[in-house]
Amino acid sequence: MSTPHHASDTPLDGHVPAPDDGHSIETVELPGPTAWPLVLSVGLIMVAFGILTNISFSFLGIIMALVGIVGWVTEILPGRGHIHEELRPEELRPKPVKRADVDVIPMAPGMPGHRMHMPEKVHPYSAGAKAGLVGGVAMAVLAAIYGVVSGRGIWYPVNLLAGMVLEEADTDPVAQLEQFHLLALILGLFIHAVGSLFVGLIYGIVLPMIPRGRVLFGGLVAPLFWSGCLWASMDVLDPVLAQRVDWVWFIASQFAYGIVVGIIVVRTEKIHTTRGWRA
Amino acid sequence: MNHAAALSAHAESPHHDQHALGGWTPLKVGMASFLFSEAALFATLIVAYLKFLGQDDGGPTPEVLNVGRELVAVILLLVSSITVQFASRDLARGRCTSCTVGVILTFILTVGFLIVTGLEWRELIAVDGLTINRNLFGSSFYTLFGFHLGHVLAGCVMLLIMMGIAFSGSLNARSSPGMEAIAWYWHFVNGVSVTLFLVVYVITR
Amino acid sequence: MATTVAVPEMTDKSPRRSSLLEWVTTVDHKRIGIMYLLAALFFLVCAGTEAALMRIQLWKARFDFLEPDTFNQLFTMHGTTMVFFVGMPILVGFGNFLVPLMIGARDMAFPRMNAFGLWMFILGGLLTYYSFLQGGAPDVGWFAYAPLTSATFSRGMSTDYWILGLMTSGLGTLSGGINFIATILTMRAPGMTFGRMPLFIWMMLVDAVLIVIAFPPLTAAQTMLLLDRQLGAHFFDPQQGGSAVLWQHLFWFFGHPEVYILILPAFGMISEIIPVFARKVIFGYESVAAATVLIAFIACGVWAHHMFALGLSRTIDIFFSGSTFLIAIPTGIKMFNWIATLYGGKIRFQTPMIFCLGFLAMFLIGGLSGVMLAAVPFDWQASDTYFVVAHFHYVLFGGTLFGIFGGFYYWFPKMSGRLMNETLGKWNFWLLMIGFNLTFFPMHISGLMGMPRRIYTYDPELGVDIWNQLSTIGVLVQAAAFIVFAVNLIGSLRSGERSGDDPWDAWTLEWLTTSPPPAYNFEVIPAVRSRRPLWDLKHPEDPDWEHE
Repeated sequence: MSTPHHASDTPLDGHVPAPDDGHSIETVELPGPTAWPLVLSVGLIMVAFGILTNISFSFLGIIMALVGIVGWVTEILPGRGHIHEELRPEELRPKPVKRADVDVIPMAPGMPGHRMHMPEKVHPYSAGAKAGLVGGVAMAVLAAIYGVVSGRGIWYPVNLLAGMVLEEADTDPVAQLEQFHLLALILGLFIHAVGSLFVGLIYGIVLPMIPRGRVLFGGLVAPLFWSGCLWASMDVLDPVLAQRVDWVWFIASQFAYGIVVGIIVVRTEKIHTTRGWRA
Repeated sequence: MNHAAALSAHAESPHHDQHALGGWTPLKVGMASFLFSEAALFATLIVAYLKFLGQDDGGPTPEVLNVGRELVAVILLLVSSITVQFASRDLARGRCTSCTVGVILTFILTVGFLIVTGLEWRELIAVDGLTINRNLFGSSFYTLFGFHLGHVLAGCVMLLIMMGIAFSGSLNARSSPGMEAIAWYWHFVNGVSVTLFLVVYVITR
Repeated sequence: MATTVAVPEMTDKSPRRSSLLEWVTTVDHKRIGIMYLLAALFFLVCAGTEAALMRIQLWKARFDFLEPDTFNQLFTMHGTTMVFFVGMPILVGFGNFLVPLMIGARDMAFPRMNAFGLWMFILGGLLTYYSFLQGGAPDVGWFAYAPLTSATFSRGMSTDYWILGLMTSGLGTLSGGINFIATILTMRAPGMTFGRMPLFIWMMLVDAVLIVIAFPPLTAAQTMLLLDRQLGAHFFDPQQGGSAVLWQHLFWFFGHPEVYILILPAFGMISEIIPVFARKVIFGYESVAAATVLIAFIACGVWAHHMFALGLSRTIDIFFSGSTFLIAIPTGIKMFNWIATLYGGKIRFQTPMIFCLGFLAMFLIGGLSGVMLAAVPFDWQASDTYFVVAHFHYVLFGGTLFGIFGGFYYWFPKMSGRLMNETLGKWNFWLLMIGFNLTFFPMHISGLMGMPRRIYTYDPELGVDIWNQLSTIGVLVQAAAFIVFAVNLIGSLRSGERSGDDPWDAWTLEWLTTSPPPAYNFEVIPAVRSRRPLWDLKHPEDPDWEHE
């Protein structure tokens, strides 16, 4: 462990120091050369070496390490262990940075400039979030319609979704899944809202990057893609849903979501890319 | 002008304070990162202990541990945490003598901890026959507590060095960041001892 | 930034020669950095020799150039050396040299601890190599699986050398990691906010955090192993209820972040070099930094993908497969950032840049075969074959080492005051590129044809002779590339063209001071207003801070 060392330096008020401001320093305080860290590390290696060969090396190593630590501590006591390095003569110092010959280096013709941003305009994040939530409502409506049409009742889909977290749902009889459960409703709505929100955000970011046919991509290609992913992983994510899901309705509701989100995102006005962190 | 000489090794130039993240000096950041890595080390050892708990076919089990005695040891360390904190605070306020007293008190309490631990281990070895190669419980118990003991011993070396500085007469408020770092380390080690006590002696025993 | 007075051309006065004692006792981050690099190059020669010997043994089926025991020692030492005594020290060496210069500081936060870390690495490496003189080097593989490492199966002291050599040098690495964190968080020049740090600094910061997280579990596991071997503890001894699987978990909990520790600084280097040689701002600075943080985060949750063949459980496999696929996303983001930086740029094809372009191409191949291996069923087929060997060499050689070469050519002028020779640099690159691909591409094929790794020979009926011969010829070409590099390094050090302060017309703070810099780095600590402080000085009419 070592104490912090800070060489002193002249605080700068401006970007380029004014010449001859009378504050040029002659020396800089730096930590002085020392062999104590080397002594400590040789001691520690001797401890290891002793374990491998003859334990007496280890005792020697411990002593050496302690000597190294004590020596090291004396180095970092205030007022010791430092040297004052003199600044170099002027002629050895760095040359001043020259103004570039050309104003700004030209890029290849027809290409974006040297501070390229891409895409230049994007949808605001809020558009994606809003669209995600609206799409989520559309999806929920379709799911509720499925519940009624299939005769299993309006609570059935949300109970299935809650099966992602509620493990006992796995063993519940179907009749129970048709009933109203407050906990399952809250969990199901939460999972649904979070999922809708995040996918909506991704839409908001990705859609502007698609050159053509954004609604088609958002409404058809993307839902088809993640439906495939869900189909493959549903066994793990939510076994209840995997056993009981009606894939036709399931995918139809994904499409409903995708189309709604796609339309809403594409219709939002774009804003210029932010210039990054203003940290 | 040579204001470099005026700055001690511990003094922060005003210049760097702009980025010292609200009082986080290099020493504090360094100590915090070090303690973070130590936490990862002990977490690994605790995981290993829990993994092997109850896997033995024979030999002593955690039943043989003496909860009362270990409680005394932990309390000794906890009190030493208070004394080291006082020592650190006193040094920051320039009261070197009372800092020295605090460091010595801390050291005495730590020696007390070492004695109680020694008694505990002697009984485990001599009476219960629990050694590191007896069974898995022995292996993981001694490794876990041995690592902690090693950290206490390292802390003792730090305390001894502070005493050495004090007796050589070079203790002053400018050493206070170093003392504060030692106090941080000490609190961490004692926090580990409480954690180990709770995990090994209370919850899973 | 300008010094106070304009000065005439720098005279040809070289700084006075320094004695050996000065180097041994130094706490100057630049000298420590250079010593890290030199020591790592020494170990690179050792590891390269080991690899070459193995490749000769694999020249043809049932060849008996080496004993099986020797072969085991060679692949163990090659892997251990490359990871612990070459890869990390080179990166830490560059970090040591560059971090204070790039953030406008005079030294690291703990200069003496910095020296301590250097000596722990060098002595730990030598301790490990001393095992060759003590009845044989470690022969249990660089990940030293239990129960092969138990006292029953690994007799003698070789495994203990492996444990203690890595533990001691790991202590040095840990102290280096802590030092980087403290330096970067607290010692930046005025105005250099997190959003204005060079990307190399971002990568080193994240790298240091990974070091601090990953090394303690390794130390703990190695201690347990040492206790098993020396004092008869039972941690990894299945006969006594111990768990060989626990070792794998602990080792890979270290081991996977470790490969990101090995690649992130190289990412940082090429993120500095590519913009300078494409004459463009790095594309998507924020997303590169954010992707780095994300990689570090995910890297702590992918370790069991090294253990698919163990048959842990379906759920665990799916989780770790998924997280491994996931880590391709931030990595892919970076690839696109670098390519978008090149897009439309006025590219200068000098040696540092062509190594970066080589990096992009080779790392892409390694990344893609990594995605293949992330799929559990594929991994079951390819696990422990030469396909895996090909994969991680494309990542760590084609990635890290190409980046390091780019870094050498780019920062050598700053370290020495002289440029490296361009012609030899081009030879170095093309020989390395050809040799590397000739060695490692055929391994994809021999691996998929069923050639197992870590076996000293192979069956003629496997039909992999031709692929192995290509690999061995490739090693010869690589050796030529390394010789060219050594000649270039030594020749340029003696009589290279003088570089001046800023040979590449670059933009970060290290080019503000002389080459080589004085002990105190900067006469006046510069103030920073953007990510490219030197651009602002060179182009006052179009400064960056108006655009960030």
